[in-house]
Amino acid sequence: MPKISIGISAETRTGWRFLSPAILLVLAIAIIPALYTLGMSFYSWNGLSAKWTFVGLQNYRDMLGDKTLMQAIRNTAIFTLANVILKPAAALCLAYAIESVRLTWLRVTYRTIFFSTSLISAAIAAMIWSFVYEPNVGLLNRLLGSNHMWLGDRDLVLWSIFAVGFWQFLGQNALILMAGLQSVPRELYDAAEMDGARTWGMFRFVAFPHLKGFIAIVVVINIINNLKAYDLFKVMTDGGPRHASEVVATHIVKQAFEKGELGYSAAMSYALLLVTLVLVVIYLWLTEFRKEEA
Amino acid sequence: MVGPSGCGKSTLLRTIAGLEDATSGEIVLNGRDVTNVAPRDRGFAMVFQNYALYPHLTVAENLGFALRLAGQPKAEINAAVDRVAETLQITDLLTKKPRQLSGGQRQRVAIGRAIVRQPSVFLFDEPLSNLDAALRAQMRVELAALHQRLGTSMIYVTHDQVEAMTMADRIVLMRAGLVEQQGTPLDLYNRPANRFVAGFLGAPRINFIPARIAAAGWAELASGRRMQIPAATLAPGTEVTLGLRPEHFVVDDTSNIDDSFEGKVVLEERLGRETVLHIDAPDLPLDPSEQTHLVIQRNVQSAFSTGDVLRFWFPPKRSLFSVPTERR
Amino acid sequence: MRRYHPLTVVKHLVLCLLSLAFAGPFVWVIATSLKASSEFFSPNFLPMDGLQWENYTQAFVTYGLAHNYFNSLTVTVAAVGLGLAIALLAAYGMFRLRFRFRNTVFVALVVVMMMPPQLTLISQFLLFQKSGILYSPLALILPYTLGVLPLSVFILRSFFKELPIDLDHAARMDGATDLQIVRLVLLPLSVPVLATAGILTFIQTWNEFLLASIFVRSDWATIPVAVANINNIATQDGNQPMKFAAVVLSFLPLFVLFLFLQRFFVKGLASGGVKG
Repeated sequence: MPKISIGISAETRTGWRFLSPAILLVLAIAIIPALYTLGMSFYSWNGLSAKWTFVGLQNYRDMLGDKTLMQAIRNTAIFTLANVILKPAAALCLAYAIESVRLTWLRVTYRTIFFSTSLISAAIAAMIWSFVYEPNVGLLNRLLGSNHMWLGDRDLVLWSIFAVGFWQFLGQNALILMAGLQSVPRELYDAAEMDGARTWGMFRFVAFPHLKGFIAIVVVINIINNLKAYDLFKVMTDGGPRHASEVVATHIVKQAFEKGELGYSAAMSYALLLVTLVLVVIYLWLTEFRKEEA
Repeated sequence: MVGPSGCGKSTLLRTIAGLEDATSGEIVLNGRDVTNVAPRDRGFAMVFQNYALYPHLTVAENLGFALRLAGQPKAEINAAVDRVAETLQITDLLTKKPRQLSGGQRQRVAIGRAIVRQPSVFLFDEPLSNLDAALRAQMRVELAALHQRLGTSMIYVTHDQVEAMTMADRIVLMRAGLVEQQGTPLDLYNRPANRFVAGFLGAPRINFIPARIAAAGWAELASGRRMQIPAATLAPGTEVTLGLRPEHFVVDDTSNIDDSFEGKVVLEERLGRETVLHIDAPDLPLDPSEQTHLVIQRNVQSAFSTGDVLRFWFPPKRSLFSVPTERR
Repeated sequence: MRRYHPLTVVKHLVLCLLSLAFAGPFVWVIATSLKASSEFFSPNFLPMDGLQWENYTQAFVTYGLAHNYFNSLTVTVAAVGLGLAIALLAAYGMFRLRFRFRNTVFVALVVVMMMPPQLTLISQFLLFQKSGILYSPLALILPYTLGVLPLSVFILRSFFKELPIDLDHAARMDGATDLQIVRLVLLPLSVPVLATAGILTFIQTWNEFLLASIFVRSDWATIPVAVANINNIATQDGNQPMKFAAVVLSFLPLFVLFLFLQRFFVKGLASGGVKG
């Protein structure tokens, strides 16, 4: 029923009261620092001296001439795109495969193994894989009998790190999609079977349309997480060798804490937020748009 | 309070309860303005359509919740709960959780929760609509008995006109957010203020016949036939709608009065003791926006069947009519 | 004998191999963590010189991981407890009352969730420094509490949508204040979903690395940061297997938690995942 109310109702006032702890926390820990960062982005400041020099949009203009940043953006874009396309696609196959396993104990075992990797800290995952990639005693080279520099090779390093993220969160992506598969009403499969659909037809016409919302969630989670991805890169390579695995997240922290370019670093973090927002909005718009068409 | 769904009767009840803010007007209880008084200070108790029992509490805890909030000592709460449980015959359910109860039992607990507080007014929001037909009829009687025993005012919202007619001392009939008429059930049934009220109360539904006043005490139908109506002070030529209750028709094959009509049975509903006939009667043209066949109710096991032709007439003092200038 | 579709055989083969590949690094790290220092460079997959449990006692006692467990537990429990309480109150305000700015506040929450931590990192550092809480556990607890909110509010939102609003109204008629409705009616009913939200955010908080490496010093270092430090020290000390032991110690509690509470994860990811 539509509600027309004039002025602020008693319930809305009570609502504000109950929201106030959350709002206070968001203001103090997120909004005010974010605004402080925004202010900082118009200044040149080294973090130590008391001298703030107003430079207007100079920090934002500087980004265009920053070769390392361009490299970092390129790497972030490749990394995010791979994560947004390859990971959900693989997770969908995995989810469908696991869900179609008939034996309950086997299904639960698979689910447990694949999901367990997402339980650990990204920093710890990075350490484990640093050991695995270690050229001399690492597991991978021992198994392959090779001596690749998995993290030292400029052409290889980005994909080596991608593999870690893939290993860590494939199971989590798949688990969300499995929840989606379980929410498909049994009758739909029965109806499709009556209509003569085979395995592929079931997937294409029954499961997939139902899963669209869940796939959207997975993709959005991946966009957000991968643009933020810092721990993996920090622990495994810290952007090396020679910026071959530099991403925007590591570049921002380095500019702030190593170079003391706090204003510039602030400007870059805003650019990153903007890119995140734009990507998520574009993606959601695309999927909503398609939904309306269908 | 009765009316079609979405007419605002529930909203009105919740406004009385204090769950909705009144945007204008005032709510007065025994001369005291309670418009801006918080629900807990109004002293009302409410029974909800889906019972709204607290799922995590036992029946006894559900019953005693209000007293616990009021800070009463445990012994008093227990005594009050036991007393109410006995009244409603739910003593053996006290230790159970709501999900272990049947619909009828939940309904009793919900009513008990309201009684425990000894409120000044009971508010019921369609309390029986989730029960099956037999149980509903039984609870209707029990509620009426409870009402007599407690002597407390009850405001009862329903969309079911049978509940309204059987249980109410006074009915408030609403449509689209407005009160159409209020009064005793028989007032509303016998002297409806307008066509909507006439059509809402009564099953089978009343027949509406468009007509024009021909002379004092006479109306002319669209077929050209004249029909005698209760004398009224309407000027000849006024457009009116006649309302003819199905149970007032007299079926009389032998009658040969001028006032009788002829019709063919199209459909016959046998309800056991009574029979509802749907009749095609060209002499008695209906309002086509309301119904396609004339409906007659007979309190006998009728011998007619589909295709039969019968003669009937309508006692003049029985017809209800209203001018078509009523608000829609 | 039953005949299997060739595709089914392929599916099982792929699942089997893939799960081995996924579990492989864990198994290898555990195996290596039990090797003797001298055995580290030998090509054996498994430790042959007997199991060196001392690696674990060394990491736990000598390198002080025990203390870091205490730190992580303190910070995480405080943040999750506080976060859930704040989320429950906020969810009541937004989804149980007719709150006019529901959508505005909700969108704000989603944007906060998308913020890269770098956006607030430096400013938080400076503000914490000014207010004197930098290097105290509070410097981690406050941002972590904020981190608990989005997921908890999402999960509570879908739960509150299913719960009839008449329950609140019945309690109100029974004389309950808003706070009593939350405490006596909604809180007991929300225990399962709060458990789900609590477990998921517990893991997220426990694993945080970036803030933990900047906002506190070694006296309040949490597990991920401490293990990273041991990683560096052990390499210099020449005790390689010990750092593997430290890594195992870091993920073991989470695995145990997961094995016992698996159903909450599945439910939580499902309900947190379904929007709308």
